[in-house]
Amino acid sequence: MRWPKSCVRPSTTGSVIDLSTPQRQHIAGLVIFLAFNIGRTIRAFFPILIALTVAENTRLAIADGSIALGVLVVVFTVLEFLRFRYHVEKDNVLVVTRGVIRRERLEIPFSRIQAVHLTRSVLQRLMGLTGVSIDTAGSAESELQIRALRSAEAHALRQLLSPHPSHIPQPEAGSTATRRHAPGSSVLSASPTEAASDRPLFALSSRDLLRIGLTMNHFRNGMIAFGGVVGLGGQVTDLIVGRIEALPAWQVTLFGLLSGLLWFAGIFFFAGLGIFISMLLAWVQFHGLRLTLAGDRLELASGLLKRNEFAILLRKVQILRWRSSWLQRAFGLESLSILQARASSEADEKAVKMVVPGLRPADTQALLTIFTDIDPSSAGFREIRPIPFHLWLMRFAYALPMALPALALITLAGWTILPLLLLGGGLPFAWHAGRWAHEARMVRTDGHVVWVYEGWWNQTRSFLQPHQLQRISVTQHFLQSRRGSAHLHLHTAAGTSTLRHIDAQTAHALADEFLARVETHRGPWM
Amino acid sequence: MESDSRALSWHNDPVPLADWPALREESFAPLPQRYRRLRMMLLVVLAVAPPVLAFLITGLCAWFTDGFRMPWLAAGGPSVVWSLVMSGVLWAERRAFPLRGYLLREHDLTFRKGWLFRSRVTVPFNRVQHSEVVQGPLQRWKNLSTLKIYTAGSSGANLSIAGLDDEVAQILRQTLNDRIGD
Repeated sequence: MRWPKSCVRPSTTGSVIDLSTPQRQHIAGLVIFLAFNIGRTIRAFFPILIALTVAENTRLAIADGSIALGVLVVVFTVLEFLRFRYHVEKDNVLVVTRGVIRRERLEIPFSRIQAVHLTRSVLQRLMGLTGVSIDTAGSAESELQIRALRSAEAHALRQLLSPHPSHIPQPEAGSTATRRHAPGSSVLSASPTEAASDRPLFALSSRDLLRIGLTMNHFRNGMIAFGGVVGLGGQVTDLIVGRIEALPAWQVTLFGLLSGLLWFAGIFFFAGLGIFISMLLAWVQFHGLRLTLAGDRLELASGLLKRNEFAILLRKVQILRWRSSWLQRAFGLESLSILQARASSEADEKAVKMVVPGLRPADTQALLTIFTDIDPSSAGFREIRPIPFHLWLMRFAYALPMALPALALITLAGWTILPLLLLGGGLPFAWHAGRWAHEARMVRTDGHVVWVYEGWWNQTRSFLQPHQLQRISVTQHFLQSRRGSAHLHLHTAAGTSTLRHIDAQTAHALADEFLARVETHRGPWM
Repeated sequence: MESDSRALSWHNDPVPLADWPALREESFAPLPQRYRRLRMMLLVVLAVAPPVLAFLITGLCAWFTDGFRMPWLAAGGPSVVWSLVMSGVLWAERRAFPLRGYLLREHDLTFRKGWLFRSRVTVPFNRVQHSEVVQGPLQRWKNLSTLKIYTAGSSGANLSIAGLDDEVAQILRQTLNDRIGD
């Protein structure tokens, strides 16, 4: 059988990738498979290992057991590597056969592929390999990973699998690519996907990274540090306590006096550690982040140790969601999630997510012009706000956590200073915060695009296009039916956006309008 | 590609928004009365079975340990609470069932349910990935079926209408399958 010509594409190295026959991954992939399987085995047997190391008389059994297990893992890995084959059939179906105990054959039509991502972990980089992960929506197999390919092969494969392989490298494209990218940038950038139409949208400098690190969630990172120190330092504490007991009495008193100071220093220490960890995380995660518009695709590359390269077709973007905490707003930054269709919308946290941190308003504007050229504050937009009763709902929601403990304290201990402080400070706060929350919640739409605004402390802003909706639901609980309000849920293939507490009639009218948009829309939506 | 032959005789001109039929309360088709009876029966079983079990178990325990003294309070207290809760649920079900209904329009299917917590879900035909009809043993006894409709981007069924007459469910599914891909 002659193989169709379109499946044979030249790669950057000049070699030709022939996908017509079933083939295995690069032989160095054995190492990556082995590392992956060892990690998985250790995680699976972790509790047993811990239990056995504690018991003294089982040391020998552990040694024997782990040797046996190691041999099993190696044999399994080799078989797994040998059995994993992939090829392209009929010019448009990717066929993968795999499995050691339970064999399976996956057939993925190119039209079902949502996005193709490239990843390079430390190990893969050492081997000079690239992993390709393939996202399909709605099928039983949500993600397929081919972990070990040579970089040129990986790029060619992505080029082939991407829904519109519109960038067949032109003769002059190579020269522009080399001119645009400094030699210090990633190896991945010198790929055949680079074309003359590439437009860099956003890139992070090291100063941007510093700012992003500063605006991360320090409290959480500080608590992680605290947990780590407490976990590791348990024995040290025992030692110190033992020493203290041996000291003379006056020194113990002095130590007691100083411990207040120690607490103070400790708070500073953990705050500093939290900020340090944030910086480190930002650096590792977002180093060299680059967002590019390549023809009809958005490409995002980032990562210091594990380098990820995401690519998504513009029309497959379902929701754009900007978030900002008060700290981020103080620095004038926002983070953006680009949501695409997934096999399971909410539950699976491991699903690939494109996140761009540290966007400034100008960057946001530049990015938005790709999707829409209409400003949401312009005249064509309707502004839909929650019903007035929502204000009292919000005030109540803020007042309850202040008032309940205060009332409990009053009934238990009478009118002391603490409940009075709680009520005196909490109720005015609830009064104002309720208003802020009420005013922050808003929807703007012109029928073609929808903007959903939410939150005053942590602000969220979502952008979606009604023609991409999968289904629409209106819900009302008993309080809402009395007040004539409702929630309107807009379900896309990438998740849900909810317009809360809007007037029930408006909700039904909007639902009908968006349904009309869905039903009259011709052309692709995913 | 295979939808091309169908698409030839099909047109769908844009409709001005004012002409688009709005959802009307009275046009929802109700579910068959035997589904209401089935639900009622299940709820009654759910209301009665736990108290009966509670009395049985505590009675048996008393028999083997305490001689013949029955701990009426231990079994009776929770049973009374449970009966109160379930009678509330049964009463709500009387109000809620008439609100269950579906509405088939030219381009979408809507299902509405709930009295205290109302919901109304609409799925446009051109977003349906696939649909199926499921029938459990109890439903088979009453010749009822559940129609499940799947759209992209989530793992479970997105619209599931339980208690449809089996024939109606099959017709609905067929209608859906005919219109998918339009």
